[in-house]
Amino acid sequence: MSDFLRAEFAPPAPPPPSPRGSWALVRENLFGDAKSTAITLAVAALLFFAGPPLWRFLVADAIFRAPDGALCRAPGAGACWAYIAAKTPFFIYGSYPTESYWRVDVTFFLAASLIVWLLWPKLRGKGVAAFGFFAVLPALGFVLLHGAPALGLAVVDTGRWGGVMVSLLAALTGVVVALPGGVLLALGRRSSLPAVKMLCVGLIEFVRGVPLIAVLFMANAMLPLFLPPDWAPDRLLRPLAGIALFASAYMAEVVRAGLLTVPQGQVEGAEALGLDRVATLRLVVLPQALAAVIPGIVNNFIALFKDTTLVAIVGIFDFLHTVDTARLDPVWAGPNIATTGYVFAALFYLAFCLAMSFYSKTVEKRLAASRRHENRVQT
Amino acid sequence: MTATHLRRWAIQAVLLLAVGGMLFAAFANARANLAARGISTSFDFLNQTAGFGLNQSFIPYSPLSSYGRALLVGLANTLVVSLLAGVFATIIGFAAGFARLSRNWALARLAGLYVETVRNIPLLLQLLFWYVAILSPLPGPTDSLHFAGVLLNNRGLILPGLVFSPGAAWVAGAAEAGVILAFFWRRFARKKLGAPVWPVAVLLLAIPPLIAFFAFGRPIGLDLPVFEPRVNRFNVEGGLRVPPEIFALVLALSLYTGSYIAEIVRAGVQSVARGQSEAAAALGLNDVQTRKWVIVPQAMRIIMPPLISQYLALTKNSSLAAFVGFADLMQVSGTILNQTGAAVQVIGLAMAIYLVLSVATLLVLRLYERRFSWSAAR
Repeated sequence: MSDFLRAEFAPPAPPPPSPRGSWALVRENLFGDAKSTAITLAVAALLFFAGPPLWRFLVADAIFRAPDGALCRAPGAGACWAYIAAKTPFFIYGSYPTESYWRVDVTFFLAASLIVWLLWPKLRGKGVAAFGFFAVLPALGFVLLHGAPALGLAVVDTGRWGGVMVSLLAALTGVVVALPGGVLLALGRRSSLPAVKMLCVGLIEFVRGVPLIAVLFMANAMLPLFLPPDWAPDRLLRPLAGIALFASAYMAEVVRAGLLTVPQGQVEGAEALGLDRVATLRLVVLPQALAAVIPGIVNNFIALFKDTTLVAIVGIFDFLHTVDTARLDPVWAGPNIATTGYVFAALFYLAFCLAMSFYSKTVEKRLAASRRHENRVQT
Repeated sequence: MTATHLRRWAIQAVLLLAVGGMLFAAFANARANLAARGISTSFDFLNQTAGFGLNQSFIPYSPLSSYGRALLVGLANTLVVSLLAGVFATIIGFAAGFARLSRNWALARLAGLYVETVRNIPLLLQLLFWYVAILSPLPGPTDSLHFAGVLLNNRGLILPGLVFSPGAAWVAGAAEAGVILAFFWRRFARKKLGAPVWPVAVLLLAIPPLIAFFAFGRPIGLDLPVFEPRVNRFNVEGGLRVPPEIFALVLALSLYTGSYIAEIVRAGVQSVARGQSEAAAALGLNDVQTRKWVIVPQAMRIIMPPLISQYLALTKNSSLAAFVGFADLMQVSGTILNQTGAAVQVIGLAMAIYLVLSVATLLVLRLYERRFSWSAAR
């Protein structure tokens, strides 16, 4: 027997000669073959021809300080950042009275804190945060932004609201209404009661089948008709109602996807423990369903934030509309003003949306990790 | 009838009564409000004279036409723009999606930059950027930018048009015959001979129309746009003009939707197991063949459903035309609404048309999807 077996291990073979290292990696990924090399050269040429003019327009030839548009109108001048600096208050607050800016600041600081509290995984007391966000914030926000003479806060007509403030307000209204609304619609869609189910499916599919602009037109022109003559809803409230309806229908589909991820065994387990239907939903199904679709909810919010730009169609001054109006100001008007404004607005939306999608991707990774963990535990 | 049954009926009855009551109150209010403002609730306005001009129409229209006709023009415009943008968005999306998966870093990063930037900027902002910041400041017809027979100025994009003389139908007929011949050659060659398909097919496609073209004295000519100051001092003569409104709208819509399609394509391709492409390589298929015969048919099943919803989103997003003054369905509806005040009828009609478009797109693509998965399964 011992004749056929080795007594000691064979010596380890040397590793195969592989040209690893950063230079080899670059060569492999950029100049792997003729086709790859050609592509790399084409991309390099594109950057070479597009890069310098962009740099000159945005930085080198740009005007950073100027009292008015004269310098920016000079031939050869680039982007007019001085104009952005001069118009920043208008872009943020619209025509809101300067002495009351703090009311806007406080409202949105509060909203931001509550959102961080809700979304940051390590912070405790989500119930309190949710109550604050969905119940206290809307009431407090209304009092602060609109004003309450009884509390010594002068009323600011919604016609003077504008800029980033209105964009955020529209998006926040959308979320505050759409989350509970979407949950209700999604539950209704799964209901075993045919009337409830048909109503919810009808509403969801109707709203999802028409453009947001049509919903806004409807809210703007038809809401005053359908309400008693003496109610006359505010001109800002009407598009906000339209956005809330629109967002709820889309949120319902996200929540429905979440409900599908909760296994039937969870419901059966809750029933076995003696929980009634409402408690099962509130304590077992919804927490799991909503946690599973946090990325979907955030992506939905990103889409909603981009869609709020459409309120301009009914004459509301959201951020983009203020940027698009300010370029007509004769003090600043010039050939580069429009481009400067749009680039600035694009950077604003990019920063906002990228930050949120970064968050959504982080959550997605964590959820995937916890699912893998669960699977390991089960098997 | 048990207690549970009774409760179920009660809940539904209460809900229906509540919704019905709300609807009834809404309609009563609407009736009173409309009567107070002297606005009719009938659809008679559709036959009245519109009285406004439209900047673009693919069907005959004049300010003397009726409101109903104006809505039809708007619908046609919406359809044309959606179709054009849909085709370009698909091309851009598939190209960018595959580019993002390229082994070449530079290309993958460039495609990634495009997708991440364009997806995160509102469509309206992009539309305004193209329309206001890029197309409007272009030079007038006198100093048009030109490239290979295509002119670009502040009146739009002017492409070479085609001029048809009487014999053109024969050329078209010959081309059709060529297509049919090529189709039969493909079936015959593949099944019976194992002969190469494409070289012969290309000849079959090209030769009949060419023969007809010269036999009937070149009945199809190219209408190149030219700026001829002696004929018209202020505008370009000839060619096919794409107004800046349509150009900006199609450009913005296809770039925006393309970035979403790119992500869908990437996810679809990545969902195909790695072993599939390795097996294809082991069988000796090259990159293009692997993509065409192995990856895409399998990825298509994952890609199709979200792709359909992108086409629907694109059709709905084409309503942003109202912001650049292009006469699409929504913009025409808005104008009619302002002139007649018939809010309920006009908005209801526009919404119904969009719903029908959505359902129709879904049905057509479902049919295609069924056929496609059938042929892929074979």
